[in-house]
Amino acid sequence: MVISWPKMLGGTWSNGMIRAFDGHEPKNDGTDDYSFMTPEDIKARKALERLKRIDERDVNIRNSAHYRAYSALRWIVPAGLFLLIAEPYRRHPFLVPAIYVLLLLVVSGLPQSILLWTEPDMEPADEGSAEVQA
Amino acid sequence: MIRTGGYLLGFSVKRRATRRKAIVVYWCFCVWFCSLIITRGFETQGTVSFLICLFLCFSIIAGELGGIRANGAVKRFEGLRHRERRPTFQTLLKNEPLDAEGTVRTSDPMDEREEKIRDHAHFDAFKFSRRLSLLLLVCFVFLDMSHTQNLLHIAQAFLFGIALTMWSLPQTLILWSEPDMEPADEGSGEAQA
Repeated sequence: MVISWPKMLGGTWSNGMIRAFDGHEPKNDGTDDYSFMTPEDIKARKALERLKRIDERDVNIRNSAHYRAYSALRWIVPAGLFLLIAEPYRRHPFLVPAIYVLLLLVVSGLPQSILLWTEPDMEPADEGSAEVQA
Repeated sequence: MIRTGGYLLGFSVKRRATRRKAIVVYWCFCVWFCSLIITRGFETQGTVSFLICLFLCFSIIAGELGGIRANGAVKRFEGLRHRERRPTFQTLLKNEPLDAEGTVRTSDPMDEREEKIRDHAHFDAFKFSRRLSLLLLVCFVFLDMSHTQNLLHIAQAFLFGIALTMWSLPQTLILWSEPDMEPADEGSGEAQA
């Protein structure tokens, strides 16, 4: 659950809401034909396709989101550490795995959340309301 | 991206080779510190020792590596929001540059290229942190099943390690990967002189 839950957002996983950060795309319906190609050619073609899929703007947005997420985590992680050390909380051993899991969820999903939060609408507002009216 | 004329743990940051030595020393110290926490933990002095460690984080990591604070080896990440202050006797001694208005710029504003380098370093650091967190969680689950005695100390050390990563990994990546600031001949010429 810890691993699969952030995958729903995408980024580190191909089939999420956000495109994979390193350029992977969900597999299509098998239209790619790799027959009569040597393994080297297939590898080169896949590398080329991978390069094409994520453009410079995407890279900039992705890196900027990671920068913002990292800036926030700089304060979140010491806060979690403080919970392990401060006297009232130290006596509760169940806090240790809880903090770890929470931290992992935040680390796995924060950049994707920032991207989903900040990206503008993909369709104009009027078009959506027209659909609703229809 | 790196401040010219800066020093990291006594090493000059102009050369990549010397920078890398400083980084290795720095991370060895971090690993040693985490192992110290595993053996002793924060139990003995509790919150006070935690505050001391946080102070060390701020003064050594943020101060020396830079990024978060102004006068480190790496330029302040949010360079556009630089502080301006009036020159003091100390700044005059250090010969820090002054503006036309007579104020000291504690950090130069970043250009577009530097912002790209900064963001990319954070992306790489985040990828590493994500994997490290997952690995430490798996380690912790296995240790929990084996009922290790000082489990709380291990948890503290792991979390402290992640916190250190959060505070210093992007700066480390920048210092590690940026090229030399001066040509090799110039340096050897100085050494010969």
